[in-house]
Amino acid sequence: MKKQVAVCAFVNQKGGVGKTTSSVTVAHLWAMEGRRVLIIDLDAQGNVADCLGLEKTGDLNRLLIGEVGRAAIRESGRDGLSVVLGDKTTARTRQILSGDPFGVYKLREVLEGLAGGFDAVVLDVAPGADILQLAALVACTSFVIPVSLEHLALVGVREALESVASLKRVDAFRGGFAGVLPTMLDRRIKGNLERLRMLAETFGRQVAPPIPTDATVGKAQASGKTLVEFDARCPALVGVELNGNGKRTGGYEVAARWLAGEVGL
Amino acid sequence: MTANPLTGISADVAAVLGHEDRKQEQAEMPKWKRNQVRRDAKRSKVTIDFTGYEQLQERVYELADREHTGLSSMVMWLLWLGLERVLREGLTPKKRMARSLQHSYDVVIEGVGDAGR
Repeated sequence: MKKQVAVCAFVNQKGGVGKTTSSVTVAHLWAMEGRRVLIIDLDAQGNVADCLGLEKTGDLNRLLIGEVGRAAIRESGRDGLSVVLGDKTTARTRQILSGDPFGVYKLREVLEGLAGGFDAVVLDVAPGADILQLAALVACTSFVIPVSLEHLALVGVREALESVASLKRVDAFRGGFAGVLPTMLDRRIKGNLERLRMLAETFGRQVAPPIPTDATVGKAQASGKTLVEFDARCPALVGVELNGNGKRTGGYEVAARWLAGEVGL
Repeated sequence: MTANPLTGISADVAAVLGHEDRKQEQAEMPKWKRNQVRRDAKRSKVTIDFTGYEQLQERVYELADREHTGLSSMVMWLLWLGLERVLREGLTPKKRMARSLQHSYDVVIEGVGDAGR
């Protein structure tokens, strides 16, 4: 029997919650564990290219309008990690798909021909509730909602779940809810902990190990390196020590393993 | 103690919330109690679960009693002797395959029956 490729979408209507950082870091960690991973940038800002130190390209646009097929896939320069990059032409794709009555199915259709040869496809989805976000939800086999604990990103969680509910009503959603990924956790801020508790009360075991706030993330992005390449011991990756006993809690390493289990890798 | 009322959450989320609960609880304690908790937290302690090793427990207690020494220092001394021996001889002869997915081997302690593993 043909193994189904795990297509995992990182979605949240709110911007600045760590979607791109999370999708790139998780994709890189999965690839480092020997999986073949494809990351697709569905955001017109093209920040996946920035995070990986690559030039932005209009590959996503050309792929979705049918100009190219597998040629849209590029090597990222990291073992096991391939990319379909985006740039401002992604905004044009959005317009074209919006005018197509079946536009919301386009990404799923393209991935069915493209994803073979990969163990996982990671979709980095732009904020906002547009056609590309809906197309990502239609194409995915599971989705995760990164949630910044810094501000009102919880509203974005509800909106993302409402988008899924609307797709379910028309039978277009075939995926599963992998969970919420709390990001930028600052334990000194009481509101952060209250929001984490609220997430845990609402979603139970579907709350991923939280990612601590860490200035390294911005520095890594500015240098065009992934977190693993920039500082493999940074708190955002390996978590923080809570009790002075050497045991670390949270961070992308444990979150990526947790997520791999949730998406069936 | 303010128990974490949440169940079925990931260990990492529980650890963060539990840690904050404990900090909050400490903040509400009288100063003497808070200092005591801090002092205790600094002490490096191990709790030994003797369930299934009752024979071993009895022998350690007897030995400590006979030598007129505290139980902790007796256990510490035995641990040191055991460590020296393991470093010298290795653990291989004492190991047998485990069923656990987490650990490949169990260490078998001779002379305390089947439970001694």
